[in-house]
Amino acid sequence: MPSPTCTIDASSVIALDHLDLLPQLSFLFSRVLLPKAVRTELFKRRTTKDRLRAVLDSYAFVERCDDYDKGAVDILLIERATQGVEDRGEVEAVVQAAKVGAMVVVDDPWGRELAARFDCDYHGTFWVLKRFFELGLTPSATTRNHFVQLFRRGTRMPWPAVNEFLVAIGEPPLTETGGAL
Amino acid sequence: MNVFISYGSAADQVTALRLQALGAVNGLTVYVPPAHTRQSQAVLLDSETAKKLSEADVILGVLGAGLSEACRQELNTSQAIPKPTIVMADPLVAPQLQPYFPNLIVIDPANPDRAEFGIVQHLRNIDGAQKAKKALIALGTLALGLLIFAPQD
Repeated sequence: MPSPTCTIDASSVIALDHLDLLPQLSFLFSRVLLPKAVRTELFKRRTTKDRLRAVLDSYAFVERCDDYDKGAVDILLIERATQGVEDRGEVEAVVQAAKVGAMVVVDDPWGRELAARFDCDYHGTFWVLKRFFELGLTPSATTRNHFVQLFRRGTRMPWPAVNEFLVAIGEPPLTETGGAL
Repeated sequence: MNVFISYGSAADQVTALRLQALGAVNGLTVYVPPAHTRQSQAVLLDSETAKKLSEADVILGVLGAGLSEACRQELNTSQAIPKPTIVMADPLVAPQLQPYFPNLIVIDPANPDRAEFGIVQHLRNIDGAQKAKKALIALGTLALGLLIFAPQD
């Protein structure tokens, strides 16, 4: 069985680190590849700069990954730029994943669409949190609390699907006005 | 209960982190040293590691891909203190470890029961509270499973 590998976009790194769940990614993946553009994005922010450094120092399974087809990334970025967005991170995450046969962990809809075009297996932070619950690493109440924290942070997430999942695991759904929100 | 997991090399850290997560679910506080400690040839343990070692109730050594200097020092310290300790190793790295750790548990994927038997035998011979020994059996068994079934590159 090959060791499972993923590339990951900045928003998922930020969300999982905020929940202190990055080490648990080792349950899903033997290698988590951080593309250069994702690192650059994280290094730009004061709040994530030191955390990224600590993550790279602390966890051997989180690796820098710079070996990818820069030409392909540049072409895709031109396409992205026509939409008024210049986010190199998700493009590098997809191109690198396609090269090494990895899964892409990405929340951005365009990044997910791109991953599908490249025939990559892709999932978002929601899937990661679901897997942790299914593996018994986080009980249902903790899982709900994680979603509450991400909601409060304004993290992009398929909230209707999150609520369906919460109900399915016996937890109250998140609401704009009631519950924990 | 505080558990210290000493892993052989950076490549073994994934197993240690998986054990940490499983331990946390079961109420154990598990410390896994950061990966950078496996990349340095420092002759002294850093203060954080020394503190965590002294706080630990039990120590589990997991060596699948080799023995770093930091791991060797951690396990030597655990024997010197002494703390209830189990050291488990892949058959490929076992020969280089046996001189340092005579009670090494060698994991033979073809005969995992031997390793399990070795864990139980070893725990009979060491001093330690019953709770600590139970934790070591549980973690040792989990480590055995993780090392045997872990996907390979």
